[in-house]
Amino acid sequence: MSEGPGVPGGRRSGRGWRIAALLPGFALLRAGRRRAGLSLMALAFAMLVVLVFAGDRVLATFTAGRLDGWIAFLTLALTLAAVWWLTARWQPGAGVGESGASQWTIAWREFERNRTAMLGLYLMVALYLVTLLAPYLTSYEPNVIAEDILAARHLPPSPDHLMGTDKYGRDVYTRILYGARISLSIGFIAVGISVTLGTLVGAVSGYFGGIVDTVLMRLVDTLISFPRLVLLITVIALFEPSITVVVVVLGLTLWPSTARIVRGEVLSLREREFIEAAHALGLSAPRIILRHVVPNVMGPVIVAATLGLGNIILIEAGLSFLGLSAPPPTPSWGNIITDGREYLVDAWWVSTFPGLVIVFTVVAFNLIGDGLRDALDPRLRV
Amino acid sequence: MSRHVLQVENLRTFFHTREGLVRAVDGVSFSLGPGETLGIVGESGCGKSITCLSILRLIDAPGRIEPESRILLGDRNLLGASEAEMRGIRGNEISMIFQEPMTSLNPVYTIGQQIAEVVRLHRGVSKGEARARAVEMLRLVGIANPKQRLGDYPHEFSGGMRQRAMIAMALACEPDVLLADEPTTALDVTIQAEILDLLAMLRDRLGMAMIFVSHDLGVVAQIADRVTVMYAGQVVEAGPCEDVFASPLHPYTEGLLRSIPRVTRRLPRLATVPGSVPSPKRWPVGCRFHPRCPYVWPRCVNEPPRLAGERRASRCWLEEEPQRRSAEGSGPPTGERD
Repeated sequence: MSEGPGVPGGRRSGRGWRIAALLPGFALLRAGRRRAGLSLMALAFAMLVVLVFAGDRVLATFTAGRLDGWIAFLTLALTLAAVWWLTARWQPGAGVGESGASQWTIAWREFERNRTAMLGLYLMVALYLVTLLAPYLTSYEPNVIAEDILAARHLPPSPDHLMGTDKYGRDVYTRILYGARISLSIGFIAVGISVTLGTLVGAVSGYFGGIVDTVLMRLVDTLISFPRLVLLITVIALFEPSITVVVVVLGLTLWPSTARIVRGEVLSLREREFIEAAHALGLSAPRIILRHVVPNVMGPVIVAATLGLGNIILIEAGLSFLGLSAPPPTPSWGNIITDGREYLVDAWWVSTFPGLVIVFTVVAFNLIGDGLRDALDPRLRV
Repeated sequence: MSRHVLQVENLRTFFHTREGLVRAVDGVSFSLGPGETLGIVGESGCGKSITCLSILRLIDAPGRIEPESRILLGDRNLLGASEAEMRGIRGNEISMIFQEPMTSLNPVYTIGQQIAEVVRLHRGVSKGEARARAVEMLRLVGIANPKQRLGDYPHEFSGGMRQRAMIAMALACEPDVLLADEPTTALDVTIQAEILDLLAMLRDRLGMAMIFVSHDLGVVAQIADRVTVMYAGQVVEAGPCEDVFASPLHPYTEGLLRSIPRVTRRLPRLATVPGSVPSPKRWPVGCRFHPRCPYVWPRCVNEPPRLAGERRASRCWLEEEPQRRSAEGSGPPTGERD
């Protein structure tokens, strides 16, 4: 139904279409994108089954009262909401060659054609499934120390313990699964903070120019000119290390690069006629910035955010390694590596596996970021 | 004489740059009656666009509208209005459309969203009403299937359609005055004609006054009732459209008219106005046109002429010494001489 002559009438309005949109993937199916639609529906169905049959267990893992549980919950909820929002808004008319294709639709088509980027996307989806389904992928607990430590510690990889055990007899595989929650959450939330802040500062700076621009950009210069790791260590050292502190500090120190990118974009955007037209139509400056400037710089911002995610996961691992991130029992990937540091020769698996996972994650985000850059770069196919 | 909708008196917009004072618009006056179309013509850099932007007070810093200027919309002096009042006027009572239809729509929103935004902003109506208004406006500007096209993004529109959409946005709140800044310059000739017809139709239908800026005399002749010719930040000639084009008073207007190519006449070479618009940082002393004027005599270099005349006005000493026009000899010299 590439032309879709049968449906045009009530395709965008009408209750039937709205109800259909509630069902994830249905809109995709209607648009003729069978594979994507079916897999999304299957995913939704699987999640429903899990919730119905093991809802209390899922809830228990999230409401354990631990901070990281909440962070994980928040991130997951946001991601799911985003998936739902995207698919529900997927206009059936947005197929190839039809009208109503936004810049995002066009960019997605471009992205989809990029195999390595899609590989990265699949890896990321897999990671997310892992964080979601962690309790069902292992029968061990991440933080429970074995009763008989001497017998259980440093067991090499085996069918019982896929990635061996660490010095307290904890299953490394389990810890990596749960660690994905921590590391990804830290990454997403810190990127969220830094991107929001960076975009706002950059947009205001570029839009108003003059003295505002000078002051903000000199602040950015100052922040960028500090050696990043030293700055992080200093700030974190002032507080008790915890996930919250790490997230906030990472978020608050990494925004200047985004601000710079955004400012550069806004400077060129400001000269475009639709911004002048917006003025001539009586829109106020805050409205123009938020509704007309910011959405137009989202392309480079998203690319920066995706690449930043990998970066932040790396930095967090580094901080954990230095003991400046989440306190020890928390299974962040950096922490797991640290646990195996002293035993690299005798028990290589403790540090190697989380290291590999970090490599894969960062590569995945970088692939996605590169793909996005290609898809969004000729930004204006006017 | 009916009351004026818009009256511009002694508009002076200067840019106070570090390199010096740029007198982009220097004492421009005109008025606009209801339903009337005023054409403003002139070469690039003569201050046409700055005049329009000044009316909406969209001049950014180093630029400033000098205090003795007056812009009256009805009885209100816009130069005394607050920024919030101005926002209520822009797009609502005075609208503006731009030259480049390719870039004057926001690429991330649908056409419908952009029209509805203006309506909601100024009329405070519900989303549904704004949408309905957007459909109505798209139909009015002649876009087929307006309901379906509402969800289209600008890149799915052709240049002409985008200019139509832009007009729909500008007129959605039925302004009293439309400032059209070279709205057809970037379009194909056939589409130019369509857009001109559309603007004329909408002007009559909505009863609005229009200022039509262009460097294309043919286009202005088609749509304007009165013409104001600008040169070097000043009005050099003004009058009813037919009169100005039939018998230009100012040598600059003469030159402009001579440089229009004609299909019927085959000239060895197209006449031009010699030289180019001087830099607004240093306008020539005396008459600003004198370095390029074929009739120039010492008085022009020493004394700046005033804009003389009621219905027809010309800023030229020839008005006082008309004998010089013929004294020069065999008709107006062509622009090819050096």
